[in-house]
Amino acid sequence: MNNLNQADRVLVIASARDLVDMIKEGAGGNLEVTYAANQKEGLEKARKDLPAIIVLGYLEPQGTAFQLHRKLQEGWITKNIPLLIVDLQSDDSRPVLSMEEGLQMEADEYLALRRGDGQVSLTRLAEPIARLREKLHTRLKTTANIVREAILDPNTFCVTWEQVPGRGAFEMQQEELVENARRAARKGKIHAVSVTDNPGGNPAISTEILCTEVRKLGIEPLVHLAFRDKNRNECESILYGLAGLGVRNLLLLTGDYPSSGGFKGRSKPVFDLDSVHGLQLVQMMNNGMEHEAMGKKTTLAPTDFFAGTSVSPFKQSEAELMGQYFKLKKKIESGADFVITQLGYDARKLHEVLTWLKVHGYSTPVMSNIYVLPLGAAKIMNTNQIPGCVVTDKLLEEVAQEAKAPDRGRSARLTRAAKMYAVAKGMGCAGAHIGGHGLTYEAVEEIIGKGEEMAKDWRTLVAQFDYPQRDGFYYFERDPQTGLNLETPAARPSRGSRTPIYEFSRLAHVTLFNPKSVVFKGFRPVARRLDSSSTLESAFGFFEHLTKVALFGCMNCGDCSLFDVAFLCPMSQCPKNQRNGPCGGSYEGWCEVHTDKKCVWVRAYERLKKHKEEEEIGDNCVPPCNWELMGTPSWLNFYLGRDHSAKRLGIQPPQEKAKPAESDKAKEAKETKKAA
Amino acid sequence: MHLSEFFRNGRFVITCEITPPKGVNTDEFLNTVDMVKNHVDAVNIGDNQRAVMRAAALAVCHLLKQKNIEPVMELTARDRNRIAIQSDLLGASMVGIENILLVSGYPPAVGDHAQAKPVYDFDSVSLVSAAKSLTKGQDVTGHALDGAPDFCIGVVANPGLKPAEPHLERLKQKIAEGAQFIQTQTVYDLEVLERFMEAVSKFNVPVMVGHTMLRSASMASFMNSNLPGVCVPDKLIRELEGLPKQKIAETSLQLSIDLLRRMKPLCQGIHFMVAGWEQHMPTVAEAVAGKRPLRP
Repeated sequence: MNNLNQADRVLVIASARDLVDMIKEGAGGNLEVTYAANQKEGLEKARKDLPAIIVLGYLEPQGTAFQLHRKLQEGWITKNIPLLIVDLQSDDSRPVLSMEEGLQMEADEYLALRRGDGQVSLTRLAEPIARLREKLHTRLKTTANIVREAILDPNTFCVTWEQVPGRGAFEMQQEELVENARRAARKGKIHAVSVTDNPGGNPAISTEILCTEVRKLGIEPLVHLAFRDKNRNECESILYGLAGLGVRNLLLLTGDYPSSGGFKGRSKPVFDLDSVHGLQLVQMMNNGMEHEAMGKKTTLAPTDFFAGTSVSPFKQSEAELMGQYFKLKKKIESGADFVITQLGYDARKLHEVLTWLKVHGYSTPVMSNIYVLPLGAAKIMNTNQIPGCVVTDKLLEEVAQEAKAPDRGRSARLTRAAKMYAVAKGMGCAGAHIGGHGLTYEAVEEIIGKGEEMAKDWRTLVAQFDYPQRDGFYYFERDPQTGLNLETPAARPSRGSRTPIYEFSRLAHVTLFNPKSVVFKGFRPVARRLDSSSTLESAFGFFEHLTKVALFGCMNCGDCSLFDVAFLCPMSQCPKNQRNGPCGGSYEGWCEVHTDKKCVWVRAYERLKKHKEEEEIGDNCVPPCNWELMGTPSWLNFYLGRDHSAKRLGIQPPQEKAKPAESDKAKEAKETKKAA
Repeated sequence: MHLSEFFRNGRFVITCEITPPKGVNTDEFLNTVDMVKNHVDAVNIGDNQRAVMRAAALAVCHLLKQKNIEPVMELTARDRNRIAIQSDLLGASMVGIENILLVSGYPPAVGDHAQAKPVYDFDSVSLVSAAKSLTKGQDVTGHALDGAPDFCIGVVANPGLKPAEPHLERLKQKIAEGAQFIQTQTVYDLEVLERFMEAVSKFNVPVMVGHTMLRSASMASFMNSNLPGVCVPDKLIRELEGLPKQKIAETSLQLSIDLLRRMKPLCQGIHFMVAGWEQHMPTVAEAVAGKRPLRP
């Protein structure tokens, strides 16, 4: 998804236009050439248009070109744009740079093109133009995002290597991570090094900062961005920083729940956004975000992120799996450029993701997660201590057998990883995301090497990755010939469940919260009356809150999401506050955090299934909670067109301006403060 | 102290060129001097070098002398006639400047005053003979001096220049006129230096090989296109090409160190011309020549 076209633009800055004609000729038809005749215009255009390459020629008076070269190289916006200085030399021309300046040049490329006097016709400049073309194209290659290219190119199998940073600034884990990235950069077999974000919900050195270091080492980083620890502003802020430093590849994830190992106890779980929201944010930024500053609408320069997300097909129950796919649908609609699968070893499940995408008409590329599995990790995963990572009993037994070998199972687990690589490549994945504790670069190369060798015989390997979960649900019918999936969806046997609260809430909803109902129309003026007096409003709010606490454990967010989750409150019932579908952490339907409670999305699925309405989960992308409404009565917010559900249903706010109570209060507070 | 004495004591001599201020503020200049002063035997001060107008080398050298830093004062024939040349040399000696580097100088066209009148009353050979004559107590027209200056005279050479013969012939004349050491243009090819050293071995004059660290691939290409006699091999340029900016210095310094280590046995010193990269000069010098006591 290239929504920029910025890769196609060359900016020529020179006093004379002859260079423009040469560049146009040299660039070929696929490049757009813009022109600036002086330093000021050049700097402006470079900053505003973000060209793929800047070509700088002679500028009057002498010395200007060097000054501008410095400004471009040092400027925050332009520092990552390749700068090519072209010196069109003839007997009567002045050089672009004086000798003194030339020795201090730090442009990316310098090209001296000699031409005789009067030799201006393009046909006679064929040779310099050919050199120019070659330079332009090599430069374009250096700026291209090779991860994007590798993932999108059907003939390239993209390989990323996952690194796990640890706690502490000067620890060996960090040293090893950077060394791994350095080796990977030098050897050039891996497209990107990914760095996880506070893995396991534990504090660790910042992935964003490590990733900018990784980029300096000469390899593309893939930044994991989890929404556990960062609210929407922090995410946006980090994304601007990354974009500014030329880090472009992202993996957006909900994130594990915070561990109990935080500073003086468990950290506050943020989960302000979910991965669907994160993708929407990135999409907005890539399109040039519009915002209002001091009453003026402005559009921010577009970023160039390539953002992926994850999906977890290794789910045991129908409700969990369907939730994953409903959410995946939303992620794709929110602009996911690629998908990485959660950790699992069942080939039919991996194939299921590919088949699901195909059947639903999506072309989103899938990266297969290949985790090199030692016995220790297998045991932990088998007992579900790492949420979402599935190791079945059968697999655990095999790994335990392998660990008895003199090499403690090393070669067996690398071979397993290589086979997974082969299977993933064979069945049509866009790449492999390789990970493993203490994995050396050599081991990764071994996996790639062996995997490539075996890829053509991948079908014979499928049977070795047959690890269904107990009563595990598959989206599609099994294909007995391949051991994988047919394109026919399997029957979904769950009959759903009926609960009194849900049935009551449905009824209440139809009568009270249906904009077309008589009650709604009748109550709207009452709502306006209640809203106009702060005493009435808080009295009403108190009554509403009491009712909703009793029924739903309401947290008074004011931007009620009960309609979106089959009358289960994601603020109080889902530890990760997921409004768009389940996270990947549930285990056989149970919540990753409160292991004695069913996942709200499993319950929602069952409630809706009873009414054959389960598909609604995937229907609309619910926005993140609007914290401006926090503590205000959500029923009034709904009736007066302020919350997200009202907006979705097209409920307009009443004619005269009814300000949200929150801002009134804020103003009041400000005034009292001033007075004080 | 005369550079020739360092050579006589068998010291591997290191000098570094530092650009005088364009203006009268000496802060930045002195900061730069501080970066290198403990790693060099002398600091070269250019005379409006590369034809860019700057503060007078004589005054700047005087400033260094006051700070107990040994200068090598460059003097070109581009901007002075024979009267001014001799007069400046006498003045220099009077303030304690002992080491001078006599060059004809780049023409004004390459610098920032392209319209300036090129003087070239003397050429590099007659420059040397004039300086030598002064040290013997006579000006160039034979008038006796009241007190003769004492100079160690250096000249420049460009080992990569082709054809080499006329250039070597001039060098021979300069030596014959009394030049005592040679500082060369920057050389990136070991073979070029070997050939040059072989050609000048008969002169029996110490040679300091010139060196400029590569700041970027583009700067290397620039030198290849614009500096006669300088040739950065493609192999070196490719090492720097496409590197992230943060890695360039690290790579470039290593390239310099590798090259200079191989050149060191061939010559008697290194002359750094690093234009803005002075902060990296000590790293390279130390890696090549080791940590050295400041005075022999």
